[in-house]
Amino acid sequence: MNEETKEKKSTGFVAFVKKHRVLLIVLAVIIAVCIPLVLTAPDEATLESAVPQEFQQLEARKESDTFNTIGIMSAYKAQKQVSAAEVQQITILGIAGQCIDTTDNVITTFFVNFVSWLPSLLDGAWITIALTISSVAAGVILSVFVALGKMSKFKPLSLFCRAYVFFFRGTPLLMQLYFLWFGLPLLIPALTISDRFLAAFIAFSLNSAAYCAENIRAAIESIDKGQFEAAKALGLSYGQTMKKIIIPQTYRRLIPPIANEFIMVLKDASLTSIIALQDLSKITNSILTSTGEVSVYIVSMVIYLIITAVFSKVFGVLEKKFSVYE
Amino acid sequence: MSMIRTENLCKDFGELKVLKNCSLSVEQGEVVCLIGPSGAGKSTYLRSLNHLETITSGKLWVEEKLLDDRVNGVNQVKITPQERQASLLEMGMVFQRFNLFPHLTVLENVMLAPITVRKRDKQETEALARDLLSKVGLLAKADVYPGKLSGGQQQRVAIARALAMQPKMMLFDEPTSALDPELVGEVLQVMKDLAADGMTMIVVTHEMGFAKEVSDRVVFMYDGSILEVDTPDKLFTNPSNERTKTFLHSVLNI
Repeated sequence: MNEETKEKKSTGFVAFVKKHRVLLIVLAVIIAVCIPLVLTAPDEATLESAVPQEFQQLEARKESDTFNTIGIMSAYKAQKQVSAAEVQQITILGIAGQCIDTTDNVITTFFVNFVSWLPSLLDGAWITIALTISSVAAGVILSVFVALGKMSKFKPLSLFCRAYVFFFRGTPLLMQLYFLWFGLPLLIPALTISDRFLAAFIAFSLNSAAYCAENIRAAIESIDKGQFEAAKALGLSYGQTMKKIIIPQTYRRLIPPIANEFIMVLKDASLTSIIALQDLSKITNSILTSTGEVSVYIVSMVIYLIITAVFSKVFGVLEKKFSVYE
Repeated sequence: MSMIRTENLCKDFGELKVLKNCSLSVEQGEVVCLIGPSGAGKSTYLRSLNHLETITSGKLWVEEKLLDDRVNGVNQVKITPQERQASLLEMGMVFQRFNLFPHLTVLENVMLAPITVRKRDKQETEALARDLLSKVGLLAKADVYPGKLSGGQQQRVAIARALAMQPKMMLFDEPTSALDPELVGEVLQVMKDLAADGMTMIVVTHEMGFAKEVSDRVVFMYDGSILEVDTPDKLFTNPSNERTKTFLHSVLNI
């Protein structure tokens, strides 16, 4: 008894690490990036000298209470004829007490850039997440019908569903996206899709449905035959058996492959940059081409990792929830 | 009145003839045990009674209503699916491997079919289900998932689940074969109680003691044919068929 509890205690930490390993890795990456930033943060004098002279003068007038921060910003903007974004950048840094010399320190440069990139990167991440969630959700719903259709005894239906899966799994997603956005309007002008997000959503959910249909079919076929027999002996119809007995039992088995599909789509979403949808990858590339800063890739990849970690966590919780009976 | 009757029932799996001209009639309130070596077709016969297997040829009556008259797999009887379903629902089935629905609690397992198929009132069904569960001694486990139960307990739930449809007869397909030896007794006890209540029962079993004690008649099957039908006294002590003798000799170690 005592030994058992001892063992439990000693494995408690290992279990914790195992349980949260994805989050811990992401956390470690973030800490690894932040520590050098903190260590190399310049002192106050350097910071102050980095702020433009004119801005400092304006800032000094603030003490007379006749100027507030917005006043300083607009005055500085008028005086120097710079863009609002630049002023905002200086202000953000000022508020954080982090007006940094941007010329001679790689890591401080990175930090400044990081702050200025973040809003647009997060906009891109939002589009990526929205596209992933909506198209996988639509794909899963559609795939239930495709899977049942494929297993149907009604030949034309099963043949159609087979062809559907064959087509969407057998051709590149990139090509499907090209066709939907560039090809279809030329072929049938009435079917022109004017919204980039909508076009990506359609292509991704149709593609996702084909993959998920195979997962669902496999999950249904993995359910013990005895379940069908018991349901039949109790007088349940095929539809009732599927709805009440078989499909609920597939939930837990479906979560790992659907989590996989989610993560695949999350990354495939970067393909949408070819139709100029402003997703995370597209924005990353835009920043690179406009600033020449390669470090934007690191920021972008960390964002991807964080999203993946959160998804994994959510699916882990779902899997636990659906396996209460096992 | 015969509850169930078959005449020259045959079942082929491709070239293999699993059942050969099986004829049997089971009266109301009768307990009939099917015994015989494995591969004799006992389970297949039982399963073709409630249409889990489609027979190749022969006739099948349930409560004197002709459900099947098949020739080469084609049914000659005109009968609506509803009528067929109504007759088939008079048969409850208990499987060797229990086949409880693992994602539903014990109570939900018992309540599912009456509510979904018979469209019964939910509260009435719950009362019935609790009543049946207390009959099989598992009322305390009503809210537990089947995975948490022992084999014997699962099989008793399976019996309660079949009874919840209020069938007129019960089919048991080797109900104790998948159980640990010490759990066999509790399931057989439930079946004995059921027989004492006057339920018509057809039981495929390897429990010779149960067959001897409870059944009204014992059917010996061998190689897809019914070779001998007799009272347990006669069949166990003085079998007329040579095959029966050999089989009983080997299972009873006498």
